[in-house]
Amino acid sequence: MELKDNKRVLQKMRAFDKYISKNGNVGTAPRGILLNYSNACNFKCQQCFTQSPSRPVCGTLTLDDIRKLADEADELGMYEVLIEGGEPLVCKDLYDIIRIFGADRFYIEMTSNGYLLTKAVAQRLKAAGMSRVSISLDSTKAEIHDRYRGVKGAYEHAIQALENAKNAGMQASVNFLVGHYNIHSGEIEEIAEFCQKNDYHFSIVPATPTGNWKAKFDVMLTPEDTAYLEKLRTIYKHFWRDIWPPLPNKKVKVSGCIAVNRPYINPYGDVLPCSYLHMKLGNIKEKPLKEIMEYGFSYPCFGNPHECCYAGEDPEFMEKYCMNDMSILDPIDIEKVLEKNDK
Amino acid sequence: MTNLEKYVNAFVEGLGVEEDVVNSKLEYQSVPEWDSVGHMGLISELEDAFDIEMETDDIVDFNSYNTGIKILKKYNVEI
Repeated sequence: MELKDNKRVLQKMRAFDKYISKNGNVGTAPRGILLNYSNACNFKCQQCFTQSPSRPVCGTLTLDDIRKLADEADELGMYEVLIEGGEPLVCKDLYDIIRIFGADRFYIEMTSNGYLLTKAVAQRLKAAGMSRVSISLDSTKAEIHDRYRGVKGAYEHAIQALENAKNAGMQASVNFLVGHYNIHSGEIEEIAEFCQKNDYHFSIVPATPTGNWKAKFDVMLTPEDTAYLEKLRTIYKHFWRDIWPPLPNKKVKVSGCIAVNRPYINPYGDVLPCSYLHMKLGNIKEKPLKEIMEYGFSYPCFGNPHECCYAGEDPEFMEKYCMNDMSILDPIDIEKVLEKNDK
Repeated sequence: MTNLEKYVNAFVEGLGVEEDVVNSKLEYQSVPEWDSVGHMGLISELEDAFDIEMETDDIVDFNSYNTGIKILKKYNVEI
């Protein structure tokens, strides 16, 4: 279903946007969920933050858990479901998961490396209710992309996947990892031009010192880099960051970090503030999502507005709280990492 | 600025199209810029321009330049 014709999703999305306009930032408004149902992957990416190459795992989530989660997310007013991995297309339950969330109540998106996204798969995804497919691209040069992804032919498949997604009637988007190491390499502009030319959206994914890049703080965006992204935002159309409002909003330019507003759920049902902050807020098998989110927001660093992305732009926070022996699959209970009076 | 000028300007700013395509032939998806996402930009511009808050049914039904003029009458905006 087209977003324009989807009343329920439009209502929820606009309610979120109005909250931002009134509040000046995302505050404690629930936005959506990031779901890693299965961490299994067919790639070996250098920059993997889920340790998929060494820890493929199906976890313990069931489709019944997903049904409960979907109902709870809908009741909370969440409009967005982003399915990640690993690689979602290697998960046999993917189409059931999409149908359970339902295109009539959520804007459903998926992040993929595109390798398995054939024309037939794209049509099947669209039929199930997928609205948007984001394909990770590291460069406009095949050899660079393939090197990052650890698979020969990865670039060629990614480019074809974007076309297949678009031709099947889904919004096609490029996810581009941006850090201090590449922001002035010229590649971000090349990919932005490529997206404009082909009618794809462009999502900035900030590089973080986590997963395979743990403690590599030099990859993080500096304030000058962030300002440069703001400049590019005025040049290119459909150029997105999670810290910006999801709808055109003249009142609020930067709506802030969405850690907890869009929590991450790992294959065991553990709830983390986001993909990169490996602190456990609770588990959806044990507690209602609402209660888990309220607990997360009870920590001032998440309940109070924070303009930049903690994981990609706040090295002090990451060094202080996120360098323990913790990962997406083995998050540490938040009370062991953060004090209630920590900012 | 007249209401007509505000109306046309909302399309120009919201969709990012040239003024010369904003006429009675303009319909949803008749130009690449008026897609689902562009639509939300257009609605946002119209709400700001006329200081109104559109109902979801009207956002869904707003599918052409001409229909938009009729819908805005509900909000006491005469183009």
